[in-house]
Amino acid sequence: MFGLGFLNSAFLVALAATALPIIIHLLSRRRVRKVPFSTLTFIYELSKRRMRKVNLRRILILVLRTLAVLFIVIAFARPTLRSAAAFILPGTAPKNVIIGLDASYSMGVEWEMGTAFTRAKEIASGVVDESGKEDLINVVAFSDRAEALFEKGTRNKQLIKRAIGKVELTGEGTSEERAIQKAFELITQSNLENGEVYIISDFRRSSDSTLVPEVPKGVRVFFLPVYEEAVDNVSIDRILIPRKLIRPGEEVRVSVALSNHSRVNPANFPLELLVDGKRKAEKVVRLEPAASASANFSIAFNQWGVYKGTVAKSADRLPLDDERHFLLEVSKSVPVTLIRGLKQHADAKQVASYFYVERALNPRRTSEGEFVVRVVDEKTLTVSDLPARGVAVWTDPQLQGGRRRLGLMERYVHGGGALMIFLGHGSKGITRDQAFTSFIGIHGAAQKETMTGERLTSFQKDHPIFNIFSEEELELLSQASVRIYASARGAASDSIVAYLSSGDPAIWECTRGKGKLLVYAASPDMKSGDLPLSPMFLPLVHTSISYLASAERAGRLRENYVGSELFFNLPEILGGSEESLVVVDGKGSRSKPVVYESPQSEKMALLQRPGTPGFYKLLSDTAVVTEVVVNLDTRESDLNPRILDGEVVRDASIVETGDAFLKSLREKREGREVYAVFLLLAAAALVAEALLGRSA
Amino acid sequence: MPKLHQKGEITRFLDPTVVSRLGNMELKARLIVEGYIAGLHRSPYHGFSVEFAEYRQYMQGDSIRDFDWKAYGKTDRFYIKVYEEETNLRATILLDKSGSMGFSSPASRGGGGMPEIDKLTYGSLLSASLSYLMVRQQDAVGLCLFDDKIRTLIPHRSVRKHLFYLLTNLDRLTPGEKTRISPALHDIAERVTRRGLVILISDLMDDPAEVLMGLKHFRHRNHEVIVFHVLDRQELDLEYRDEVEFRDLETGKKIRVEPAFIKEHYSKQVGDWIDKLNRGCRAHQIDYNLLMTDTPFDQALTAYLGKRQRMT
Repeated sequence: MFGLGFLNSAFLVALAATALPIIIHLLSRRRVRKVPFSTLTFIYELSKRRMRKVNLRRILILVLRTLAVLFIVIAFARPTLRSAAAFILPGTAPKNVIIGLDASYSMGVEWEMGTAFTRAKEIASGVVDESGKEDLINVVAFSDRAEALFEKGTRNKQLIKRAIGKVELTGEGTSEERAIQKAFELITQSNLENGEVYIISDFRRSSDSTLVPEVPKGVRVFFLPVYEEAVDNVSIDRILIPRKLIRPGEEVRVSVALSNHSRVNPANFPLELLVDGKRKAEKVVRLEPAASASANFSIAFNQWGVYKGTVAKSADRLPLDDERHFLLEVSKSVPVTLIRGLKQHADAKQVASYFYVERALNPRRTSEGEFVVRVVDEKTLTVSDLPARGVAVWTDPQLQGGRRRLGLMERYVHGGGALMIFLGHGSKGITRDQAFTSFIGIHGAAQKETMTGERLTSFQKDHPIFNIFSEEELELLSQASVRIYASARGAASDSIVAYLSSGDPAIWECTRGKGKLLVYAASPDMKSGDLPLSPMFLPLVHTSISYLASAERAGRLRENYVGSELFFNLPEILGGSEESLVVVDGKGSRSKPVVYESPQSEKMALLQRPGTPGFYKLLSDTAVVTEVVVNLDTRESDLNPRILDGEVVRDASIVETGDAFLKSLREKREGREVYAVFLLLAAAALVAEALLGRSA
Repeated sequence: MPKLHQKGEITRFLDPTVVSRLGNMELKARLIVEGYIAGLHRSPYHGFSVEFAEYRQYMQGDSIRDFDWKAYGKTDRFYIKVYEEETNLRATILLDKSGSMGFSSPASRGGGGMPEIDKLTYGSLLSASLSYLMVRQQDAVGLCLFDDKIRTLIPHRSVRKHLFYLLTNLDRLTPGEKTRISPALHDIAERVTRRGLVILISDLMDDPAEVLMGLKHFRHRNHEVIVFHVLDRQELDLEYRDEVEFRDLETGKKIRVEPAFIKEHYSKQVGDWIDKLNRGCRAHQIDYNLLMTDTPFDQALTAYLGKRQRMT
């Protein structure tokens, strides 16, 4: 009500007393004496003219009496005024003053006298200076999350100012609502009933649709926009690199997504690609107002290793979103996990197909070859056995661990893994399993009795598996005899890359989620035919694995953002040395991660809140365990001012922060106790009532 | 009836409130007149008759024309011869008995207590006293009671029996209808043809111009006119506390007012009204006398006798 608050609002119940003058007035009117009179001639004339004034005066007296009671009751309820005139009145009610300081990255916008963040700190100090001696002050530094600098607030203004000075800018977004909620919590926990919440922010686009939740009684919210004009800004929003295994010499396309947030001005700027700090490529980009576009770079790496890449543009007023980082791993070899379903045939006269595949991939059985093979049993297979960038080869799948193994493989392929399956003698039992046949893309497959003497006759010659082979070589391949264990007539025709002489599909591929599957209907073992003895067997396995390893996977690599949880996968070889783990960011700051075990029994290290963009290394003692990149979430790079309309602001007051900051603040702030004014008004009403009564 | 020898005892009967509590009208009239006469320090109104009545001791102010020189010579004291007056006067008393004449205010202003006598009672007492005095002086007196028209018209007589008849009529008076003085006056003026004295006792609650027109009619007929304007003091002052609902005694209309707020203006209006009547009467050689219901009767009687003396 007119910016009026009450420190003793319970006393407002006494407002019922304002009815007393009215009741007395009505009762007195009922007690009118009836008098017979000789003639009303004179009285009639007078009553017409005079009584109208008299009645008016009577009503005025009644109003004055009612007002006197009203003012007295209000005075006892200890009113506090928030209006513009309040600051000239004496007396201040002690209250909570909570200053919300926006430390999100958009506050890093550069200004004539520093950044918007430094200006915000000055404004915060101004609010502290303007607070009353008895006010309990606290600061909530907020971005996507809100933290109070003091547990219970303090009356020491110098201490508060020093704490404000130490608050650092983060690379996170903004949630004003969280800051306000935190402020309300602090006020609720305090023993002072009233409170003022000052939100000092640039109020750029954030995740909140409504900034102010329901305001508790006795609390007032002020918005102090640090700056209100639109600022032109171009942000690098994302870097896309192929999600595949990259081999030395392979050309890689780096795609950079950019946005011009200005609604008026086009942007024209040079964009450069740096690898390990050295400039590798540069191009000039032009962006129309309010437009987004992609810029592409093509680079190749001759040496295997992990490269640190940075895409940067010429700096504008918000430098934080003018560069973005990425990590690019060039693999020396293709990691292959060979999952053996069947170890050996029952009669033990013939080795199972895994043996021939392993020999084909690593004939010399060394660790320096093109393929690094790791053999695991289907029974003991875990998630960590499956290579993130390599290929899993599953020979003679038997589903010995039941559906759990199948589920594991499905999740692997759906998550972007590459899997090659050789259906063999051991797979006879599972080709009736609908879940399995559905997974390998042969819907409705029926078991077929072993067919011998089949040959690979028809190939998709332009397919990457076969396009390097000559006609003679393919002819040579077709001379090998194979035995198949399942008819895969349900496979989609466009996914079949080779047929058997019987017309059944021999090799087909299918996509599952982000990953890829290549299935061989024929098993490469001597019990099933002579394919392992074919001179084309080794090249066929190599081209198949290379095809799967270099295939670009659907989806994008997971990005790590500043302020979000940062996970590191821990390799098993780390053993019990988790105590020595430490995370080092791009500036050299060290943090201790939290190690925990995921529901899939994987060990992870977690860094709660990476504060700055850059490269983060997980070290075990001095050895680098793994390295990840953290970038900015650019959702606040649009520096066009947000319209603080009624729906957004609700009950909050907006304080100007320009030259008239202090004046505006004084006008809008609350807390002048004005009971004396109401006592004075009551006295004035009583005096006026007495004078009116006497003159009547 | 007690003997009223003491001057103080008898003069108190000039007080209207005291007289109003007495028994019959004759007694009241007699006490008023006797009281009045006893209270006179001189007797200028005796001696108009040629018939000797009595001697009395000279008092300061008596004319030396009435000295009995023979008695002076014998007793060395001054005696005055008192004569019974012979009448040749016809007086008509016009008494307004309209509803508004029934108004009386409480004895204590603005509060409770014993009511003062109403205007009609005052007027009837005054009429009775005048009648008594006139008959005592051998004057012929007639009485006319009216409100919006003539209700009773008693012809002129000077005998004592006639006085009783008049007093009986006055004793039975009750307030009547609405006042319309002017038509009544014109009507009476037409009926009373022989020249004489006309005494109007009324609160004159009517249009002053109309009232004066009616009185002028009498003057036109060569009557001498005395007006006794009877009002209650409350009608002049409007001394009521708090809010009051007034009911018009004649029309029954009601109005709710706070007298304190209009008192000043009301008194001024009533004053103007009285002044207008007074000036109008003077303009036509009519004796105008404003009487409050608490005014002793001697003032009215003196006014009458003064007028009579001037007439003779």
